[in-house]
Amino acid sequence: MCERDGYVVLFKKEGCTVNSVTVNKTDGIHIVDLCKKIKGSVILDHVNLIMKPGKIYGLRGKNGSGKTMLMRAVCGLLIPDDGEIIINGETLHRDIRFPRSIGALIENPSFIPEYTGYRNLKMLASLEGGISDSEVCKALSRTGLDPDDSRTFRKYSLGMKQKLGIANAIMGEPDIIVLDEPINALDEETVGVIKSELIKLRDKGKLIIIACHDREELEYLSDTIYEIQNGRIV
Amino acid sequence: MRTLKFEMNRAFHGKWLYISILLGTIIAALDLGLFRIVYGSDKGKVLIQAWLGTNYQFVYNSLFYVLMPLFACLPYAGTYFSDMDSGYDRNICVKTSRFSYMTSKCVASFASGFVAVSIPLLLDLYGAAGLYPDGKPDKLSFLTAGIIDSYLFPELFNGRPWIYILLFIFIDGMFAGLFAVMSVCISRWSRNRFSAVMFPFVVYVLTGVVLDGVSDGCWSVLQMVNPEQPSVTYMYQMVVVYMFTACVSVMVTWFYSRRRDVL
Repeated sequence: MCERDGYVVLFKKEGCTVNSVTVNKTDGIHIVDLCKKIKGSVILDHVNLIMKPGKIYGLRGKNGSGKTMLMRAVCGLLIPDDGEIIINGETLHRDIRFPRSIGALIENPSFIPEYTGYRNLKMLASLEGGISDSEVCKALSRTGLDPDDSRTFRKYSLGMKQKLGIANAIMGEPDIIVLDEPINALDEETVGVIKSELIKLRDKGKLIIIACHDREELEYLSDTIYEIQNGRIV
Repeated sequence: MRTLKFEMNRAFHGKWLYISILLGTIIAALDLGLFRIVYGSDKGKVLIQAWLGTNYQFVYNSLFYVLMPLFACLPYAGTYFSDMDSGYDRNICVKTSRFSYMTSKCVASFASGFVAVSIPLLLDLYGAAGLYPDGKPDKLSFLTAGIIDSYLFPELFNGRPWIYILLFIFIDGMFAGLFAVMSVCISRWSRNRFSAVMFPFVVYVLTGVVLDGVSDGCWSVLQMVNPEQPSVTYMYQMVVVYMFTACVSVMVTWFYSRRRDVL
């Protein structure tokens, strides 16, 4: 057992207790004492978190506080220097190389410029397998994009690119959805649509992590909000 | 397998593959067209004299073989750099392992390089075969590259020109694939897509120039890949050069596909 910043960590055994919450390591995400340095600067500093399915978790913090890096770590894109990330009972980079069921929009949405939105998603769906064409169309429609739009990604507006990024993250309704600043560049109407879609997904038991600068939106959407400062949860 | 399928799909549906094939085919067509204009339907001329690879009297043979690494790298090799630069690799690496991604990228780049170089040569062979008969080349003709006993596959050149041509198309395709893999490997240190695509070309030309002076070109890939065989190359030299380059490329790929952050 160790204690950091008043956060009791007792993850080594199944059914242990953290801040009076009984932890079942087979559900959701358990981040244990996660540390990461990049080129000498501390990016994540002994991060401990428990995230359960069927909830929306908000990450709040200043620019460079470590929100995006924490999301990258959850997605398996960042190799921890210390600590571990346990997803549905499996330790990332030890038991699994990447999360089994995850959708992510991290920073700017990036796709193949010569392809249409539908074709881009279809290609990425083929990587995962088990996602039908109708599910690809559904993901596009849910974010307000037209699956039959013949414009290529290159010709998309900033808002449309963002919508496509969200569509990619929610396509196939993965167990974990990670969205970094999802409502950036979106109009009010679309923000409303995205919010209701995220709530629907949460109600279906999906674990959603959102980073957002807009305090009101984050408070509206999130069941729990974590504040990050200098790579630490405060 | 899904990642490989994904990368192959991208590689063979990109416009640069078609542009690369088109450029190579234009050079081949110019060569064959010029040969036809100069020699018409001269009955003494045979297929192997008209084919781009062994027709050395015009500039197009040299042009094609000097530009070969560009034709190979243009279609797909540069996409590793652009994936990293744009952040597209994040979309892939949340759904597959980095090792699988890198391996598939190299295989797809190899395949696209192979196809980009071999298709124009095959099309030229098809065109030349339609215009000129298969037959033994005249050893004394100035039109014939004159592959004598000390060169590679002289018995094929003089006895079975078709097999000689197809064998060299295969060798050229293999080297083209290797150039594309080299380009993927160097992308990690490149500042832009252009430099990643240009790297194999620069190495190929520079080593060609230097080795031409040092060892009469027998260790130069620039000379090796040309079916005209400007200098005497032994099979073991070709195998050593190929294996060395392939091993270095595979090791670099393996090193960078290990546990690394995707930023």
